[in-house]
Amino acid sequence: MSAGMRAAIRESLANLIFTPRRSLVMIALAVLLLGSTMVLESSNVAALLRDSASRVAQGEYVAVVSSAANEPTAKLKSDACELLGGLPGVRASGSIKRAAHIVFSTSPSQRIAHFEVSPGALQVLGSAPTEAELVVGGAIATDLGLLTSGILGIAGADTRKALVLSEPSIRTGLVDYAVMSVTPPSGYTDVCLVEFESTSPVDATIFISGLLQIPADSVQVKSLEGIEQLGPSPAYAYEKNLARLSWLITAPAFATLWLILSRSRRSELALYKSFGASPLFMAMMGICEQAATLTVAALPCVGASLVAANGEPIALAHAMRVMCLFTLASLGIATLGTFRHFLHRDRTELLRGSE
Amino acid sequence: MSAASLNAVAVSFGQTQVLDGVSLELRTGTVTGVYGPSGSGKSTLLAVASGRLKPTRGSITWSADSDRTRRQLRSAWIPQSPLVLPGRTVLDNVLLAHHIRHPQVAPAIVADALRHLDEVGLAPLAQRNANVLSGGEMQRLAIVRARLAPTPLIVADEPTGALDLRNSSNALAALIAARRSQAILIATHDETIARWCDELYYLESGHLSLRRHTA
Repeated sequence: MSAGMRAAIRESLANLIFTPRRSLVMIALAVLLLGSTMVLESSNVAALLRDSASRVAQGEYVAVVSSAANEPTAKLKSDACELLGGLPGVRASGSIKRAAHIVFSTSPSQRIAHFEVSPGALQVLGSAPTEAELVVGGAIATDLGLLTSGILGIAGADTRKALVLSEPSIRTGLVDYAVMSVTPPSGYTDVCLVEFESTSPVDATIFISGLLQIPADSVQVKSLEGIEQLGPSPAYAYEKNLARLSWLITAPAFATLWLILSRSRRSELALYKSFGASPLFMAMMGICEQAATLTVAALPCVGASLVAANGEPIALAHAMRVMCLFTLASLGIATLGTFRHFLHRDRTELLRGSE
Repeated sequence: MSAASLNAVAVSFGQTQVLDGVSLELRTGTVTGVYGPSGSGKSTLLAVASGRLKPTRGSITWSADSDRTRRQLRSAWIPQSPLVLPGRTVLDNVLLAHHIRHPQVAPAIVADALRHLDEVGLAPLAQRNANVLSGGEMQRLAIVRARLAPTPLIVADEPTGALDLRNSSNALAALIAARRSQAILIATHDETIARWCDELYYLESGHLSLRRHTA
């Protein structure tokens, strides 16, 4: 680092330290503008992520695929459905097929709805991974007085290891009243559940029919109950949110305030210039003063952003990114303003500034 | 030795001709005074001589330019109204020209600064905040700052204009003492200062005319 640069840094720090009132005003303005920008970004991203996580948990990106009503012959293959889960853009998939009612040997005997589900379907339904052959809904289990992870005897069938879940699916309450046999996919299925990544295309019908290699009008794609099917991804929602560009207003605002304050320091700056400070020295000094001000202001801003991020590292990362953009933009504008002032200012103003 | 030489310098702002064909030699050991009515172009002449304003026509030669390796200043400036860096000590203020060039000022220069401050009665205030100085003290500070600057030329614009008689005399004595090693160009209305000048010029309508020369 050259002696001139070190001298500029020394002078800028001295100016900040020895004019505390002026420095505090700028720090307060920086906290206000930078902080509001960062907190806005952080809270926006956190809200988007929270909302998206909630919607994903409820099955926002789960498509319920069945044969179209007018195409009863267009059957869906279970294994093809299960294999969709390994494709890009698909988080999981699996088949659900209605099976014969199960009759429990109670007195009086009870007939319970019974579905054959593939492991992939269980995953789509949001059930905890299990090696059990049967998954019994909590509502039924309560009626039958079953214990969790018990051995269950079913009339007409072999004794099988069953798992009783109080809430077999976080995404639909229907299976709470059913028994699901976990079976490898084979033959045809009634329903194929497909859960997409949140970045998947919106037109699910065309996408799914293409993957299953059947005509698009042969399948019917519905959303999981109560959830808008394949809504915008968090990234898409973020792109559409203009608040993410707030730094484009606040950074120039801060730079402008900085330049206005610099104009009030015209005599002081003229003194520097008349004793040999070059435009580069002045710009360097301005950059250092502003950078130091922003550094001090950044501490409470990061703290506030951390709170607004609500434990979402991505939200905090976005706030930090906005802080960098804000800093670069305001430093750039202020530096250009300084150069413009010292290199191109009107000659009469130069005289005025020196007196 | 010539500190600066102005050759047929002309300055105009738009249609207004402020200086017209001004030639002036500023030599080390000489106090050059310029007086004239308000608006005659004194401040413009000082700005041109100090290198802060480029002339529209003509040329200026500074001796400082011949030895840039020593990072000399073309001129040091003493404004009419005392200016200080806010919040900084008196010592910091008088060392401004050195602080701009070096992050750490050599002890010999600091000692020299204290000696100069002592000459003008400001040594006891060296570590005081310059903001609290009186107008006269601030002007003496400005004079010491100019004397300490690494330059052969001091340019002073009405240096005692804002001071009372006693402060004016003290400041003037401090300024004239700089003649030993520097050339001094002063714009003034003050007859007291005019009497101290080795060369006195009258400026009117952009033209400079010699009124007095002391060999």
